[in-house]
Amino acid sequence: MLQNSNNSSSFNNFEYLDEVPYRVFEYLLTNTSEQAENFWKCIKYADKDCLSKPNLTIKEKKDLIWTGQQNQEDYSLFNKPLVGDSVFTANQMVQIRLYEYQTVPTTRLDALILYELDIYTNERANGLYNDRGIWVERTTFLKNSCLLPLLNGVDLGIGYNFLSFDREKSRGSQAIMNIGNSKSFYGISMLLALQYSNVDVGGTCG
Amino acid sequence: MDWYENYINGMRQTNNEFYEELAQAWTNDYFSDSTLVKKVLEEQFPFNNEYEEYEVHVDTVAEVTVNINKVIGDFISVIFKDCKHRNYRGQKYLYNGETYLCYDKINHLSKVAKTNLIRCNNEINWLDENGSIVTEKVFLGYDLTSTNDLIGKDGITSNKRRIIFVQSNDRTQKIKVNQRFMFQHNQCFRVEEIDNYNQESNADGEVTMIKLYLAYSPMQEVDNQELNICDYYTVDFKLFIDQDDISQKIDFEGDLTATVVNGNDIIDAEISWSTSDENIVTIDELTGHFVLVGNVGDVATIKASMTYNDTVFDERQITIVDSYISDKKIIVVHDDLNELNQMETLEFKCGVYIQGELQQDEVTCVPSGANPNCYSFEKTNDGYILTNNKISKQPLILTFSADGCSDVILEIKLLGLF
Repeated sequence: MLQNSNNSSSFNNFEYLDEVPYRVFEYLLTNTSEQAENFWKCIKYADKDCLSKPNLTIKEKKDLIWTGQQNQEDYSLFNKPLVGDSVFTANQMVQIRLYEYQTVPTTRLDALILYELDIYTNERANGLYNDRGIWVERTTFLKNSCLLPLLNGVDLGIGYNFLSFDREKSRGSQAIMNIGNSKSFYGISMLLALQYSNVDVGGTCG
Repeated sequence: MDWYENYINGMRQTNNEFYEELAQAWTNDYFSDSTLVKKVLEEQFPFNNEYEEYEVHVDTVAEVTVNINKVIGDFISVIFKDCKHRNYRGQKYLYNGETYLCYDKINHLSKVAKTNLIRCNNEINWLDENGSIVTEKVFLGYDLTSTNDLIGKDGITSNKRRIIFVQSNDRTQKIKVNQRFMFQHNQCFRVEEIDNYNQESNADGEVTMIKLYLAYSPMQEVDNQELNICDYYTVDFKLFIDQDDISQKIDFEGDLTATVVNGNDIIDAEISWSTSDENIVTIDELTGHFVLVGNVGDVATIKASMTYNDTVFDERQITIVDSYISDKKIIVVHDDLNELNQMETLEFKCGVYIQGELQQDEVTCVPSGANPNCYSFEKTNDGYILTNNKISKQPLILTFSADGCSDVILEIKLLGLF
C-alpha cells in the first residue's frame, strides 16, 4: 500500500518491482528447456564444446549467481551493471548482467520499465559450436538462441503484460554490440520492456 | 631325439648361474659358525610400516672416512643370506632397538646381497592437517655447515645449516619448504630445499629417500618446546564429547561421540576412548560404546582424545545410580538449521533421549506458520524430510512433541532460490 497519505486518488505502486531480476533468474533456474540448459552451460563453460557437456545441477546453476560476495570473479549472473573492468581476469569468461535501466511513468497509473540485459564474454571464450555443429559467436548465440527464446514474452508474475523485446512497446527496446574495453572483453547490451501497473493497493479510486 | 634335447637343456647352466651358485654357496658358508650373524627387521615395500625378519651378517662399514665428527658406529654393513635379496634407498630397518635407513642399496650386479645402513640419530615431529602428531625417524647430518653468522644491516643472525636424510613416504612427501622442525626441544630449523628428485630403480619411478636442507630458525612463541614441535600453536585443536556427564543404572549401555575442531572448523580426526577404571565402566577404544559394570555409587571418568595427539582431549564423569532421573527425558532434533533455500531439501533426525541415549518413544511434529503450498514435509523412519517449494514471508514453525517431554520448537525461514 502506498504510504503517501493520499486517500482521494490512486497512483501507481512500484513496491517490489525491484524483484524482477530475481524473477528472471528464478525463471532461468527452474526452466528445463533445451534453451535454458544451453544458456547455463554456455555461461559456465568457456570452451567451444560447452554445449556437449552435461546439464548443470540446480546447485551448480545457483553457484553462478552473485549474491553480494566480495569476490565477484567467480560468478556469472549479476543484478547490477559492471563497475570497472577488474573482474575480467583470466577465470571470468562469460557474464550476464540484468538490471533496471529506465522507468517511464506513462500515466499516473501506468509505467513502462526497461531492463538492460548485458552479455559479456572474454575475448578468449568468444566462440562455440552450436547444437547443429555450426561455429558461432558466443554473445549472439546467448542472445538469439537462448535468452530471447526464453525471455521474449515471458510472464514474470509482475506487471500486467509480458517482458518483451518489442519496439512497439518501447522505442528503447533494442540490442547493440556496444560493450568492450578493446583489450579483453566485449558484449551485447539488450533492452527489454515491461508494462507495469499496480493500483489495487493504492489510495481510494478517484 | 626329444628326450636328448630335454636332457641337455635341463643340465645346461650359464656362466652367470654358475657364479651365482658359487656366491650363494660361499654366503651360506659365511653364515655358519659366525658371531656376526644377527636378526634385522626390514620394512616392506611400498613402505607401510610393516616389517619382516631376516637373518643377516652385520659388520662395520670400512669405506667411511672417519673424522672426529662422524660416528663410525652408526654405519653398518649388512649381508643378506639370500644373494637374490634386493632393497631400496630409504628403506627402514630395525636392528638392536634402533631404526636404520638404507643409504647404499644392494647393487643388482653384485653377486652378494650387501647393503649399507645408517642409524637414525634423531627424529622430526610435526602436526599434520588433522592435528595428529607425526613423528619420523631421520638421519641428521653430523656436520653443521655455514657456522659463520650472517651480518646484515639490521643485525647479526645465525646462518647455520643442516642436512637430513629421511624416508620418502606418504607422511614425509607432505613436508613443505619453510616447514620448521625442532631438535632436542631447544633448536629449530626450517626447510630450505627439498631434494626429492632421485628416482629409485625398480620402484616405478618413485623417490624412496628425501634429502632436506635445513637452515637455522629462531625459536618462536608458536613453538611447543615440551612436545618438540614447531608452529604447534598456529592451530587450535579442541575436542568435545558431544554428551553430558552420565548417571545411569548398572548394565546400562550407550554410545558416546566426540567432535574435533580446529578453530571453528570441524575436522575429521581419529578419536580414542579410554576409561579411568575398567571395573566401573568399560568402553570400546574405537567406537565409544560403553557399559556400566561397577556398583551403585561408583564414579569413573571416560576420556576421549585424538588418537595421534593425546594432548587434545575431553572427559566425562560416569556415575552409577539406583535409577535414572526421569525428568531428563528430552526431545533432540539433530539439526539447528533456521533457514532453507527454495528447491532445497533437509532431512533431519529426531528422537527422545535420556542421558544421551535414544529411546523408543515416538516424536510427532506439527508444521505451522508458512503457507502449506510453500513447503512439503514428510515423516521418515527416524525423522522428517522438509523441502522448500516456494519463498514464504511467514517462517515455518515446527513443533516437536513426545510423551513426558517439553515441546521443542524450530523456526525455519523459507528463503528464495539464492
